[in-house]
Amino acid sequence: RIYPLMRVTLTTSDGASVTVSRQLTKHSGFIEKAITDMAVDDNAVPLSAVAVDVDDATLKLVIEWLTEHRDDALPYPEKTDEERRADDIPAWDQAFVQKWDTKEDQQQTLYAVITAADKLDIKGLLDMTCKTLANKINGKTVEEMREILQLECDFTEEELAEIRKENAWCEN
Amino acid sequence: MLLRIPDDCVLDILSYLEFSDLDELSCVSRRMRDLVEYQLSRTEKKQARQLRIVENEIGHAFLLFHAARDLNFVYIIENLESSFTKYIETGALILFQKFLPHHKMTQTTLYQQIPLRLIERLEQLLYRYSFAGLYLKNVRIT
Repeated sequence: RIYPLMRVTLTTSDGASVTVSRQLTKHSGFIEKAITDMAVDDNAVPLSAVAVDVDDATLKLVIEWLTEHRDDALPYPEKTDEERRADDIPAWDQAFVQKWDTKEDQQQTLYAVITAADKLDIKGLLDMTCKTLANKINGKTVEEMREILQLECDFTEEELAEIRKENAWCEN
Repeated sequence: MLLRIPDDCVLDILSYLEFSDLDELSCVSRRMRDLVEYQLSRTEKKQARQLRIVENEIGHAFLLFHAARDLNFVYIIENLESSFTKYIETGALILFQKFLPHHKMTQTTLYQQIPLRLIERLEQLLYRYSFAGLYLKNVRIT
């Protein structure tokens, strides 16, 4: 049973501590497991001690999202392949992500939140951020994708030509 | 950056993309190519009515008949060329007879045994399509 008034203290990788309601942390499979299985003292969860590299700025964004979604049903509904779609991001979540887009390091923020959602096992947030990144990639050229994903090309020209030839065979 | 995101997460992102985007992504980097290849193996396949493989004087023709009738298309693997001709025809009306041998092939040809390239191409198509039927003409399986 979750006691909504219970407080949980999270310590980030850069040493900051944030105390939040258990009503929020119940959406994090990792924190719930830490509290129940690992018997942490005084409900204080040091994220860095368990190899979760989440900094203060990222954790604040995660908590902001959790606060908005505190009443979401649990467990998070699993979707079949047919039900999976990237164009059903709720309006509040879209505005939440748009807010990062005004920052110079918009991609870094998105990657930091995806990583945090994955490590903290927050399925709803992970799902939403993955859809957001998928929407950014959708319909882009290889060069544009490299820029968005911040990846360097490690193919030779010959290898690239071969891959393009293979892909052309099955082109839709 | 994406390098810090574990493979499971990247695969989750890829699961929202169409085949055409996955093709582009496979050209981005080696890691992306490996992940795209894995994703293709578990992506829901498109439905096709029938795949016909015919050997004719040129080589092997693949005729793919989609569930949506206006998306039929034909690929040819030429016997004597190292490359293949793709998409030689597309549209609602593909005349199957056009790709049959023009003369009756009474003797075993050098190429009647299925070339490895044909198997490789077939495997690639099977990653993306499930066929309600498969039709082989003049293709000897030994």
